[in-house]
Amino acid sequence: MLWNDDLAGRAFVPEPFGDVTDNLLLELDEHEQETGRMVGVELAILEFDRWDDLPKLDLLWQLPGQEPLPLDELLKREQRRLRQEAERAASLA
Amino acid sequence: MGPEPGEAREETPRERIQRLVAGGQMPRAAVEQAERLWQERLRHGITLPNGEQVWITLDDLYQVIVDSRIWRQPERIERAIAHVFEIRRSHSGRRQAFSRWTEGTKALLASIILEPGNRLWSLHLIDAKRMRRYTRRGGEIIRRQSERS
Repeated sequence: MLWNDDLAGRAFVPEPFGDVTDNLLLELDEHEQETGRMVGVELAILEFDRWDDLPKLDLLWQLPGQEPLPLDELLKREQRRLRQEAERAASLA
Repeated sequence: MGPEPGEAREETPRERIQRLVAGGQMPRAAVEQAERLWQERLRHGITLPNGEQVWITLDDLYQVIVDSRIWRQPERIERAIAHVFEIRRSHSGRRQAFSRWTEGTKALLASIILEPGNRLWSLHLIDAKRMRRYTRRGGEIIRRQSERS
């Protein structure tokens, strides 16, 4: 999950873009109408490979202590990191 | 093993909720209510209408309650699982379940993703439009409950 902390705790609805596990999370107002803002992105990151399905957004995303990046670059970098972590954990098991 | 120096470490769902509560973005009372519900009713599993158990860890709970429509009414987690009417095959051994129930005059729909072993991966309240978008993706239906059952 990748969250937009400015909108943390708000209501949202998933908008699927890849497999059923891959969703943009779109903010809802108190009348459950979409506001056009994005609460987060949910995807099965270790196995995700449908990069062409990822919507192109005008927003940059930033993890704490890191530089802002387009969503696909940030997710690819996180995927590499998490896969390396998983490999390390598997090699120690 | 922890992260290397300078390497990012993923925040756990519990840490995120604690941070949001500390920052005033989620009410502590709502989180405590959800934790009580988990202790009393969710941690031993919730039964699907077909008799299978869905397992929910405390971290799964913290992941699900970030939607205000759920942290305001965490009992919706149990209702959603208990009212599943269709289960579809997804990728990597996961399954997607759809659920429908009413609260007073309000009809609710939910999409639930289950990991292999029936651990809860996600639970989202959805609308009919989203349900159509999911079902168009064509996962094989492996269980459907009739409207009258």
